[in-house]
Formats: sequence, structure tokens, C-alpha cells
Amino acid sequence: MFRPSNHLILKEIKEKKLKNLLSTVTFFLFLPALIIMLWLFVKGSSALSLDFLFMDPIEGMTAGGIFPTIVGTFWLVIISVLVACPLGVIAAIYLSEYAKDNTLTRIIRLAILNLAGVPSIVHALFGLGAFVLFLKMGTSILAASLTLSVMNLPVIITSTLESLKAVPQSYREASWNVGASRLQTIRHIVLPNSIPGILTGVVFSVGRSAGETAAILFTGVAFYLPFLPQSVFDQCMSLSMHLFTISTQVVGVPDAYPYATALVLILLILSMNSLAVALRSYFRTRRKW
Amino acid sequence: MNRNHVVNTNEFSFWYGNFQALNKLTFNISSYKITALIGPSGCGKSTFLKCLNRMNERGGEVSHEGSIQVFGEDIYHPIVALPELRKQVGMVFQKPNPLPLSIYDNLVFGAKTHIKNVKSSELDHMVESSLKRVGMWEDLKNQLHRSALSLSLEKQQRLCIARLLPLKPKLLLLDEPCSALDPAGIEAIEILIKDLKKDYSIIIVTHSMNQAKRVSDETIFMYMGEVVEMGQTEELFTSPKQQKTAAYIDGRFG
Repeated sequence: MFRPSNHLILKEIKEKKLKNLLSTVTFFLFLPALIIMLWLFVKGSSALSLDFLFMDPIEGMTAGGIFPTIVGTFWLVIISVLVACPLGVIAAIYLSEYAKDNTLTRIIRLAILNLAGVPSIVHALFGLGAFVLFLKMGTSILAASLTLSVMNLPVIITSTLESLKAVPQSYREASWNVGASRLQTIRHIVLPNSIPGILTGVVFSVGRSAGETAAILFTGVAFYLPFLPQSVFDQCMSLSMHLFTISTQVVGVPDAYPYATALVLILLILSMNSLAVALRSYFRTRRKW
Repeated sequence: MNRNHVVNTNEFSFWYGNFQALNKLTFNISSYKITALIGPSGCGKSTFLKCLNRMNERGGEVSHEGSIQVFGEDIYHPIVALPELRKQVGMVFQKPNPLPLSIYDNLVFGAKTHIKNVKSSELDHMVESSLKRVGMWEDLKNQLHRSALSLSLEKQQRLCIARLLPLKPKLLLLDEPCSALDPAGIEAIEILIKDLKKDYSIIIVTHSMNQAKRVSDETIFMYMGEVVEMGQTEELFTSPKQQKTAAYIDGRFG
């Protein structure tokens, strides 16, 4: 009486096939990431050493290490985050908590979305025009970091907006209702509940700017510098740019060098992303309710 | 202002964008009474309730004409500070909405936002007296630092009422406070509401005519943004003067 009809059996077979298809596709999506990592490791690990990490490049970048590029990448990333993070979070708070839904704010939102779609080379040209030339910063860490922050702003604003929107409206109403001002509500109720999401967005954007090449190409990064940057008005080297240089512009670089450089870059970005995940889960567990 | 009235509205109209939700309301609501607002969905009863502490000014354009006085003061006067208004006119929502904090912190959240450096003994006192007022002190006195979200819905709703009390409100607005509760919860909340009448003026929006009959002293029947009829609850339900009212309380529409 409860035996499956032929029709039902066919349906179940179909369902099983579909499930297998989905899992295979998912697996193949994961595969490239794995292969890239393995490939880089196999090809580059022979060059990887403490010396490689902590020495200057020597002999026309065909020997030595990549220390100045790591330093430069850190300068760029940290300054760009210091600028983009407060600006982006403030803008998102305004858009989510204060701005009325009218034509103006709709245009602003649209502009932010479009900004996210602008290719990084165009950001580079903008940075060259606005920061390097118009604001007379010259090609410098500052100009390059600011270009990176302009590029990251839409990402930070969008992710912050999403996390603010995820805080139930009823929490805000409850808080207003006991006479808390809008600012008090944001400080005590909205932000504490959206911090994990905001942080995740910020750290992911850090990873993005660490790998960015085009945006810093004209604005502050040099092919080779014989000294470390002393201030934000100096130029610097960067991992991503260095990878391009030693892969295509310099003759006689050992085979393993570009791979090792790429490996360092990827590990740096991966560790930042894992930091994001760790932070998120830390804040989730710390929140008692 | 008449001392017996907590709310006086005068030709009050209200719009969400171009949609007129309330049309020239003119009536008074008595103090230390429970007034029920009834009417079919979309009749404007919730809108009116939210106008009383101006909770509906977010998300889109709103506009109004005429005036609402609460305790004799025009609440739409430019000088009115919304936090102060909401402190004195507290609202309880359809769905219990305790903050994602402990029971204790829920109860003192309002006081903390208004007074700087409150002594912790004062806070303790606030928590105890407001929980006692809603009849939950004995149950909860040993678990004040539990998450408020872990309480049952009925207790959450009691907590939402209790957290208004430390602010010494004069008028309580209840927006269908029982619609998320089971029959036992409904009964408990209704008993609490009737008891609170001694100290507070209460306006309750309800979908249930039986609830209006059970708890309220006066009833206002609204339809399409207008007041059709208002009066003593008993009178309004036993001998409605308007056809529309009669039809609604008979369940013929709405």
C-alpha cells in the first residue's frame, strides 16, 4: 500500500542525479583554488626561506629577497584601511539610520554600486589626476593608499549597510521607545549587533587591496627602490607589482622567485581572510544573546 | 486643558506620502481609563496610536494637519523633543521586542540613556519595583542576567511593559499587545493591563472585539481613517448608534 509507484521511483532517480550534479559542480569550483595553491607551493617552495622574506632584492632583482615589497604592501594596506574604514562606516550609518528614502539618497546608493563596478585601472587614472597631480601629493604611498581607499569604499559601505540592515527594526523601535536618541540607539543597540558583519567587510577589503596592482601602478609604487620608505610621501614597492616586474620585465630571475612571491602574496591575503572569519566568530560567541 | 483628558485631538489628519491615513480626527481620551481603538485592518487605528508618540516618522515622507495634545501640550510643536515625548508616552508592540540584552539591562536601558551616572542601587531598585509591578519579580529575581530573548512570549511582553515603567510614563500605548500570545498569555496580560489602569492612562489597539469588551472603559470605532463612533464600551457594544458600528461588532464586515 505504501510501496513507491514507478513514477515515484523515476522521480527519485532524477533527484539523485541532480544532487550528484550539484555536488560535482561545487567540487570543481573548489578545485582551481586548490590546484593554484599546490602549484605555487610546488614551484615556489624551493625559493622560500627566511632570507627570501627578509632580504632586499639584489643584482637587478635576480637574487636576494622581497622584504621591501612586503613592507610596502603593509604601508599601502594599513593607510588605505585607516582612511576607508571610518569614512565607509560613517557613510553607511548615515544611509541606513538617518537618510530618508528619497531621490537623492537613491542616487547616492546607485553611485556607490557603480563605484564598485569601476575597473581598478580607471581608479588608478583618477588617483593620478586627483591625488598625485591636483593635490600635489606626487607619486607616493599616500596617493596610492588614497586611491586604494576610494576603490574599497563601496565594498565597505555595502557590507556595512548589509550588516546594519540585518539588525531587526524592532530593536531600534524598542530603544527609541524608551526615549533613547537616534545616536544612543546606534551606539548601544545597532552597532554592537552589527560589528561582526562590519569587520568582515573591512578585512575582506584589506585582502583585496593587498593584491591590487593596477590602482597603485601610477600612483605610488616603484619597480625598484634601493631604500625602504621613510614616510607616506615616499614611494614604495609592493608584492603584486613586484610579481609583475620579475615575471615579465627582468631577465635572469630564477624560476622559483615569481612563484614564491605569489605564494607569499596569497598566504598574506588568506591569513587576512581567515582573520576576518575568526573575528566574526569571536564576536558571535562573545555576544551572549 | 481638561484635567480628565489625557489626549485631545483637533481636526487631526495624517498622510503617508500621498495616502491619507487619518481624516480630521477630533475627540478626547479620558485619563486613568483604558480606551480601546477598534476597526477593520487599515482603518488607521495603529497609525493614530503611533502618532501619539510619533513612532511613524521613519521610512518615507509623512505629513499632518491639525493638532494632537497630550497632557495639554501640542506634541507636533517644533520644540517637542522626541526622546522626551517617548519617555512619557511609551509603546508596547504587537510582537514582543525585548532588546538582545539581559532582563536586567532591558529594564534599565531607558533610565541609563536619560540619566548620567545612575547609582547601581537605584538601578537595582528600578528593576525590582518594575518587575514587581508586572508580577514577575518572584519568578525572575534569581535570573536577572539571563537573556531576555529566552523568556516565553508572554513574559517577554510583560517585560516590554515593565521596561517602560522606570521612565515614569503617563500614557501607555498598546498596539495589539496580545496578538502573538496564547489564550493563557492573553488572560495574564489583560489582568495586568486592568491593574495598571490605577496608575496610568492606557490606549489599546485591538483586533478582538471581545478583548475590547473585556478590558476597556471606552471604545473608539474607526473606519477608513475616520472616527465613526465613540463612547462607553458597554453602550457602544450593546446599543451602537451608527449602522457601520453595528455591522462591525456583529462581524458583518472587517
